[in-house]
Amino acid sequence: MSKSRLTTDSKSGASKSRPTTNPAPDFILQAHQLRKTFGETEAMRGISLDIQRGEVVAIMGPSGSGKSTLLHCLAGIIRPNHGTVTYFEQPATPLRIDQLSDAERTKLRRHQFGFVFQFSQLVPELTALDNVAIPLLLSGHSRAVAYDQAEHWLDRMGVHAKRHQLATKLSGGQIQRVAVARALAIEPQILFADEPTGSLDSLNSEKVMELFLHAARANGTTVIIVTHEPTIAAYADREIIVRDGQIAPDHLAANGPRSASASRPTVNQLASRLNSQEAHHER
Amino acid sequence: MNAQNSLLGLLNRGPNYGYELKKLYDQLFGQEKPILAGQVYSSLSRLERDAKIAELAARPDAPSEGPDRIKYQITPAGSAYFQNWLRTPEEASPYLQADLYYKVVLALINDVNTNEFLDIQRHAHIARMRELTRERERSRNIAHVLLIDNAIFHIEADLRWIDLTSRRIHHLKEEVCQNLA
Repeated sequence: MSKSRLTTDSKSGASKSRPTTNPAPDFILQAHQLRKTFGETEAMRGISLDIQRGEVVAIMGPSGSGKSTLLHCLAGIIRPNHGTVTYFEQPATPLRIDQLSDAERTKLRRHQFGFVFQFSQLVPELTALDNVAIPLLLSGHSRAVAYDQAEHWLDRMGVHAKRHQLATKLSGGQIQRVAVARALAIEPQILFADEPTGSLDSLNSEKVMELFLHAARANGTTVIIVTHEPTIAAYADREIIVRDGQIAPDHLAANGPRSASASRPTVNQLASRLNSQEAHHER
Repeated sequence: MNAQNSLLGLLNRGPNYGYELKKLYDQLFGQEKPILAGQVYSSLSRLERDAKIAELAARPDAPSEGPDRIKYQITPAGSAYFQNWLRTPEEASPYLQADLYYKVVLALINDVNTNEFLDIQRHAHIARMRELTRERERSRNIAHVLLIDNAIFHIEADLRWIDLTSRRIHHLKEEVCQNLA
């Protein structure tokens, strides 16, 4: 990546999407006033946000709200028409992703970013182990190191026993675990996930998310998840709601919790409430 | 549902008589179970005691004495209370939809930005879901996990209702405004 493209975008630090309780926030990604149109459709209409290093953020919104477009812009898959996306591999090395060439963005995605999609796009003719090792080989690791790492990550995702199975012989939950292992194996700075459990049932979703985020947090990987499912967003540190190409203001984050979280019933209290129709009539 | 807050929301649109307020309430919320006149008057007198509403005038053609013939208006303190109540998220729990429905209707008839407080409610629900999800991750007891699952799925149902409501808001507004016409 060319040094001449390095710029300091001090304005984007002024985004109002997060509270300013941390005196020295360590941002890994900052987007400022992103706009993107497809034909006559305005998918993003001035989106600004900051992502802290190591944070797990969920981007939510209805179909067509612009959430996937936002993810693709943040990850350098597509370029915004207007606005900036700044990536900080280190706090003092801002890199304007929106100004990189196609080749530079491809290189960045291969070495610094990981991706998990709803349909994991494993190579069907290869084993689980080969699928995880390939990105490591492509990024220049020796064969021995690549396969050692691949085994390690399959083990962390609980699918080591399936390492010699062809991708076509794996269940949906196993495929997603292999896909997560593949994405995390390159030890990305940021992992982008688009509906990562969209094709799984509730129990498999829960298992995949727990293993996925446990591994990501242990490695300090920043995770950005696009999901329309609140049960998946609930695994994140915070959620961003995108509606009509804009971020809906988060009054709770801005003003602190209000009455809803002032009283937090325990699970036992919830259980007794669920069993009591009277609770309904008293309201 | 708190009848006082609903009546306050109806008065936020403009001064009205006790009897008219009951009619409005029944049109908007009381299709299955109309509010009792006594409940309207006791709620109005409590609102008046708390300085959220004030008596404006008596109806000249009223057949009898009593709250029916009194015209009430919301006070600035009452209006501020109502606006704040709309934007205060409800606790995530079963049977929440009815309360949220009242808020949606009252927001619509008062030209309050409905999406704004639905988003506040969304964040509050997801925050509660986050607490429960973390509790579930820490739990080693399957009975405990199942109880948490139950709570999470109830919150999820509320969130689906919120999503659907925000997509149907224009139709609801048309219907509500027709009721008021």
